[in-house]
Amino acid sequence: MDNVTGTRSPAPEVDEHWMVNRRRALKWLIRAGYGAFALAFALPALALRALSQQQSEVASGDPLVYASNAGGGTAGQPVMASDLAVGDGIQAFPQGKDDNQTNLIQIVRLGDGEGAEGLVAYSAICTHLGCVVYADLNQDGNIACPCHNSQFDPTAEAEVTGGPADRALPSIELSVTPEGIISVAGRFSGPIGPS
Amino acid sequence: MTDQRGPAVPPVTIMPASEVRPGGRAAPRTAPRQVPRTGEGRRVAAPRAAKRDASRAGWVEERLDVTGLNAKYGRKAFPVHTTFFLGEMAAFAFIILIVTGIYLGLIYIPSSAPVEVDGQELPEAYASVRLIESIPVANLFRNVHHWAAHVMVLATLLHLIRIFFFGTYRRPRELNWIIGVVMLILTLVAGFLGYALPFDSYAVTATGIGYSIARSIPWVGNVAAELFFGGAFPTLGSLPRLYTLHIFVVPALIALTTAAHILLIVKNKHSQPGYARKLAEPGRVLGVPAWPYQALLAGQLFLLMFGALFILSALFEIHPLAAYGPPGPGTPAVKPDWYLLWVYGFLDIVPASLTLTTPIGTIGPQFIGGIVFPGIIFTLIFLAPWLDRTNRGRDVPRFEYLQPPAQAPVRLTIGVGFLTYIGMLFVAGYHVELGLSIAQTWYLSLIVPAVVMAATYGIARQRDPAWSRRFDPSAEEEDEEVLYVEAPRGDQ
Ligand code: FES
Repeated sequence: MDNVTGTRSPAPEVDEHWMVNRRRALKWLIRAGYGAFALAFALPALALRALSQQQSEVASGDPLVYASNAGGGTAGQPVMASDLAVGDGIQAFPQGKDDNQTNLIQIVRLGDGEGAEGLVAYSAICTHLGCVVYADLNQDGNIACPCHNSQFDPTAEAEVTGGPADRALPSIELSVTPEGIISVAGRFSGPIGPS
Repeated sequence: MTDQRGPAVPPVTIMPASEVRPGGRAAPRTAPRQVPRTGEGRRVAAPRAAKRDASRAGWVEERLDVTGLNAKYGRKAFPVHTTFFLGEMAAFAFIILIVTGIYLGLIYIPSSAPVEVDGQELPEAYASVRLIESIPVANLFRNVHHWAAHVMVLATLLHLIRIFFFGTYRRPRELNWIIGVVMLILTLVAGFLGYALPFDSYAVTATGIGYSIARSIPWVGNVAAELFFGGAFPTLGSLPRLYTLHIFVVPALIALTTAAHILLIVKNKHSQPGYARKLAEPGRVLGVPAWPYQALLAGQLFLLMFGALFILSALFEIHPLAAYGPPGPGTPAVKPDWYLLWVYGFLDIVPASLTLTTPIGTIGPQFIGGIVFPGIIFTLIFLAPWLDRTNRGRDVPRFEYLQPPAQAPVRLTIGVGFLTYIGMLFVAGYHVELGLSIAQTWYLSLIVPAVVMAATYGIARQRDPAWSRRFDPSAEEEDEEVLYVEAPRGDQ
């Protein structure tokens, strides 16, 4: 550059005001450019959230099968009404729908009876933070959660009797087929798990 | 004190502390032997072999200006004190995590899709971790990775506690305090994200709880949870997302904040133990130069940690897959690792009745226990520099020296009370096992810290000199041989 010595070639006449405004406008344009750049990266993330796969849901009439080998059953085998003695609790999936953990159903026998009489069923997903409750009732006869020790009373619509959960487990109607297999007869009484 | 340093090291003025006039400028005992600087002058007189060396050094010098670089940064003084290594330990643990993580990432498959292994249907991720476990060296690295994660959290935490109790978060280092707390949070997040990867029963449970907590945030919860967990956890979208966050996004943020943290240390200069006040004038840092002494010490520390972690991992297997097995329909009784146990403890005892229905949604105990409460804790930590009364007022322009805890009884009391409360939340996490009711746990978690605080304050107010000196770094290391006073900027 030849104006290192400090001498400047005389600047052409310009409208100072216009220069300042133009510079400010350009600054804003650059800022807007950065903003658009950031948005262009941030917004697609919203589209990414919907990658959940389609999951099955409980439907009325689904026969129930043992969820695991615990409690005297065999995973995948149908649950018979006669399998449960009074005070027993077991966990079951609607047949063929064990891909979705929230379909897990907790069955408890409260008393003897024909068919579905004496049986109650609730969602096995704790309403606190979504853990699966223990299949076996605890010594107070409550359904208990292993995670933060929430407790639900199976004799009273699974109302909360202890711990941090703030909502009862949703219940679901049962029926028993002529062969004695327990099946679902309705829908959950409320949203499953924490919500 | 002979000069045994190699010719590549520029002259470092080293003097025993006895030579340093109290409160005055450092004066060299005798003129230390001037090692010729690499560069023009030296090349002329050097014999043949040295000449070759010099020309090689000259080649590098010409391109990288090592001498200039060394003069600018290699002479940065590092105060010497045992507790000044905690931050370095965290950084080294991070490096070890990256190195071992690379090996694990070469084998691990972030997919929860079922695959058949030995006639058993397993999530692919679980199967790949089983493969890792079956390769001895990979298994060793997996254990080192897990142990190093604990060390990183612990070192970060101890570093923060040290900074707090000595009051060095005060002016002008508030920003670095904030960056440091952000780094702690990032470290916890990285640890939590790592929980999910083995995809065993424990992983699915712990991550599922995290997912439910995220979802409990009013209004934005669903979007945020689905964004970070790739849909309703556990779903096929979950592992790729958590994996990317665990191995790239969060470590990149940790690296960035580490760089900012170090930059600010250089900018603000080290805070230093009080003894420096007697040996160097204000504004100067007394310590060992970054190169070679601090580098040597840090290098030794790194190798020591590296060795210790491998020994630890070889002797104590941590979280083997078989401990919990593949995810099944049930939930094992799990508790998070110690560094998240306090949140777990609070979640355990937050009363269910704490539910508010607001126009934008319900605020349940999950949100209060899992988000609001840790949020309050971290906000308090963030605000420490502004809550500290001694940081107000302008009578001290900059706090350059560590303030021994005994000289700041209020800070000591609050800090100890805070830590005790967090400790009581660990107890809350085990209240069922300990046979405590929720009400009893609440009383305990409030009364014990109160008692401890009262006792601490009482003791600290006595200002028993013998007791207070134990925690006063100004009482130590006065005859340290290698200490030198950093030259002020622009002197070189
Ligand atoms: S998830 Fe059941 S008590 Fe927390």
